[in-house]
Amino acid sequence: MKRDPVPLILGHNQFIGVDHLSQERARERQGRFDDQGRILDLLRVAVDAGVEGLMVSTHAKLKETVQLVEGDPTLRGRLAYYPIVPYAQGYVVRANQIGIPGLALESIRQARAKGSLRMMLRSARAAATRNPKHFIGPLVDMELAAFRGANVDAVFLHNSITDLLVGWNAIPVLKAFQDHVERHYDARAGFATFNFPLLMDRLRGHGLRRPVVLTSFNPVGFQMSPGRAENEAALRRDEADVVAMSIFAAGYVKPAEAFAYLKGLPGIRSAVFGASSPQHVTHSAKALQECLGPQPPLPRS
Amino acid sequence: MSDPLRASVVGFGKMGMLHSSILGATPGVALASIVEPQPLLRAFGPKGVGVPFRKSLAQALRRDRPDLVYITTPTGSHPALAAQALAAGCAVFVEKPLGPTLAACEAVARLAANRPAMVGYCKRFAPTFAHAHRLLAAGAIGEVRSFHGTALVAQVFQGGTGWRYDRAAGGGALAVIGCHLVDLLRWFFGEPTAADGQGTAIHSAAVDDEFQGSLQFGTGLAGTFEVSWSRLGHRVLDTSLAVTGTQGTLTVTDDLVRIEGPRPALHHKQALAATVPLDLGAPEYGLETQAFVAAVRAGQDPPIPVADAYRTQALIDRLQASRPLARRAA
Repeated sequence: MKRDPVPLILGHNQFIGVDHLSQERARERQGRFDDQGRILDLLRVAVDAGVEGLMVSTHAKLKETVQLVEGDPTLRGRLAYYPIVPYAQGYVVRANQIGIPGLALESIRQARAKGSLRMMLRSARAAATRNPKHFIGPLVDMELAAFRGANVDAVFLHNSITDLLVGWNAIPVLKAFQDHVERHYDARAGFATFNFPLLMDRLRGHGLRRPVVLTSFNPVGFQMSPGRAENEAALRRDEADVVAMSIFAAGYVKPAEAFAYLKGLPGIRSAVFGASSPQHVTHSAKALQECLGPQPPLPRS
Repeated sequence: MSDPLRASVVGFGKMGMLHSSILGATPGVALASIVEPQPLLRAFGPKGVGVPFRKSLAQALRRDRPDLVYITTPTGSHPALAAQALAAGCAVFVEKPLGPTLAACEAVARLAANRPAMVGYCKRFAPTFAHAHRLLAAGAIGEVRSFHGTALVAQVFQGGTGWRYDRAAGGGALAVIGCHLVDLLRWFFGEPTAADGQGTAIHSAAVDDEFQGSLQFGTGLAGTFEVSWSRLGHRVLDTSLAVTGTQGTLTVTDDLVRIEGPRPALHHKQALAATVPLDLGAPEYGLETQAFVAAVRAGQDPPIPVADAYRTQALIDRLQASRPLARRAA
């Protein structure tokens, strides 16, 4: 049974030193969550405040966090995961070191080394067909290896990859991602994007099942290309289950303003938010519960 | 509505992927082909991107008749490929920097004079740096006296292979990541009268992992800068510039512009948003392509012509030539 995204999803950037307001602030705050125990403490507060989901990139540190959560009696089973793949920054750094062809070959080798027979067969198929849509399966399998056995609600394709494919109009690759995730992981497939209207325009007519889309909604139009009005219009067309991100515009917008804006939007029933203190988690969770739209009565199958 | 401009992108590395995707979403442009010599990328590319992949630029020029050619290959090949596309009558966009050395850029600089050719010093289009440029030009901190710039990223902590680690091919921290900062300093302050610098190899065998430089300008303005691709704590390339003037200090980073002094101000990137057809990588990539395409359509000079980038190249050469490469243990 594939269910819709839960209303409240805690973001992960604060745990890995990412701050989109300012790199300076990220460096200042780096170290706050060096200790995994502090991450677990914050997650306990979040769960008590009604958070049911955790967004996780496949950063090495967060893979360890997942293992710790799954081994913790106070947290196990209380959080669904929303992995976002691949860990794009890691690939960018590696591509600078060994080039794109080297990176592709290294990824295939890693898939084989980690892998199950199934992963190897999928890699071989990708190589044989020379079709990138067959490469997406092994990539997803490799990235999600750390989540085996965990409760994964939806798997998101990172915005850098979604938007790259949207520019090329490579919709069959997006469809291959959706098919692979929904067939093999009992989870919904999602697309993270900064270009929600263009994504939806290009998906139309390609036979994708109603997608989950992780996209920015904030009152200043930050990361809402080509503009706020176009994104709001796309939302009103109701062609996707939208999970709102960047709701505070990376810390630029005051929480009250962000919540008031979300409350005025139709159709957003789920949001991911970042918080690094117990007070902030509790306050945001309470405010979001009041401003998100009603949940659908039954899970989708 | 006029016919779309046909675009070919040469090179299918990180920047070639990014530019081809942006071109695919840019109104009035039709992506025609990709040029990529690597068989692996040529094998997978066509079914993903949906356009033919050619082995060589010559083949793309002959078969696809592009109006625009984007050169996104390793730096060493920029000048010859740009010259080839210009000679075929195409408008040319060259990724930064123009070439590996000034000498290598001379022929293409001559060929590009009065032609639609642009170099992708995209930081000039980044909303915060563009705004800082406007503020300084408007005298927001009075007469500028000094500056300190940095371009830092945590990327190289062991010796690598390939063109980025080969000085003659355009490698080294100053040329690969610091060229943006050097170009910004020229854009902000003009041509320096004196330039000095010291590159240091820490992890790499034959290129600078760090570079410290100083520049002086005829107006009495002087400043320093620091480039490193081996600096912990900088997850992504972090470019910043602090400028002191007679009426305050302006600090600009990728995230904000701050003025301290009698007329304090703070402008975050969120408030300086710009509209692009596809936000990929950062808004500046879409903005530079918009500006290039608009200039080509209008028959006007593009915003960063080759002659301008040639002077940035000259400054990079001067800085690199000022002292022999030093070495320091990691």
